[in-house]
Amino acid sequence: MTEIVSHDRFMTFELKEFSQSLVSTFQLINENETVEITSGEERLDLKNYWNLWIENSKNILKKLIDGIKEAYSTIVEILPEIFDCFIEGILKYTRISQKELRFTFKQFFYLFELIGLREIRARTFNRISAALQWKICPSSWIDLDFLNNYRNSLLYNTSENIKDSIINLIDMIKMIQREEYSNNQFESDLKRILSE
Amino acid sequence: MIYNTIVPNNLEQGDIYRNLPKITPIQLNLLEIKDIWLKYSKEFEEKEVPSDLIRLKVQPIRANGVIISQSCDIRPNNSILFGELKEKKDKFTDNVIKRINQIDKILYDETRNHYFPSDSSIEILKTPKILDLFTFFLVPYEFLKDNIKNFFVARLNPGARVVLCEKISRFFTRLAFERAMYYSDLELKEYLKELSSEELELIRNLFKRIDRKFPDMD
Repeated sequence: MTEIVSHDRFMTFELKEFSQSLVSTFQLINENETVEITSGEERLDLKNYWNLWIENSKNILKKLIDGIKEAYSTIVEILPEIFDCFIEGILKYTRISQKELRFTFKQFFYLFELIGLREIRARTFNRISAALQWKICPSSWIDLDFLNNYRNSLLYNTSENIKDSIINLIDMIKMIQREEYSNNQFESDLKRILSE
Repeated sequence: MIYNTIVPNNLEQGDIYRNLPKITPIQLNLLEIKDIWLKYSKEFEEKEVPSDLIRLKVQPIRANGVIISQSCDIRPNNSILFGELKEKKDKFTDNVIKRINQIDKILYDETRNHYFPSDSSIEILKTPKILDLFTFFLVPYEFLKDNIKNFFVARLNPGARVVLCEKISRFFTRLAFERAMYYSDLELKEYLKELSSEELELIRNLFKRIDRKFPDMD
């Protein structure tokens, strides 16, 4: 048993095992710094010990924060891909279930924006255009104003692919809206015939 | 029922096809090019050469359709005329007597519609469909001929095909007239209540031509 006495003489701890494990943990965390254990009789100053402990904790915390930051930036980087997969899944669900979606594209975008989505891939816009073309979702699912605002908010160095995809989608929505107007005429004619 | 789902070797009037690429003037939005077309038209008449290409962007939309072209006109290097098969948004009533009445009205309607009853064994006909004779589109013969089995849904039996053929021919030869001119002022007022502003404008113009006073709508 090793007795370690503090400077204030009031605090005495049996710390052999604990200090050894701390030192080995420290070594693992910071390989560049080495701590020598000369013998089981070595006494560690408690103040130094706490300083060491705080320093270690800081290091761990710093590395943890760096890790989180790195993970978050990776997530943010792949978020447009995740969003694209999500939209693909939503459209597949709509196609199979043949149910109308409760949430609009805009609402999904805002949800993803909360966790860091900044950009929508051209592929996502193309996917939605195709879904409209094949009548998988109604044109009302995409808000035309939202699309125009999004297009206006794009930076000048945004890729031409994205800009073209948005323009194609806007054209498709306008075309579907014209068709919907014609369909409404068809419905009202039919209604009139049936009510006569 | 009235459908035969065996894939045929040829195309006939009344055949039902699915997932066709529909392109119509509504999609084209010709109004977008109205001004420039008018300008170039004037230039052309003045023996000048228009200076630039006029472009219109169109993206086909998926549609189910019924062949309107007469069978004798369906041949290579021709386009086949389709009428769009549409879903009625408001479902037919559950009351059988009323439903029969509704079906009869559509069958005997000579304006734009024809009725296609439901058939639970055919995916796109699980609910009744309406053929809209106002929405036409063309599909090249070769597009279908080489891929009949991919797009074919059903062929009408001979009896139902005759009904459809008659309906189509009546639609194309119908005499369009405005019945409003046959109504008394009192009848006319009641009739006009149901009409849209565009229809009212047409009747207003007609009345000008026949020198009849258009009733006060207040």
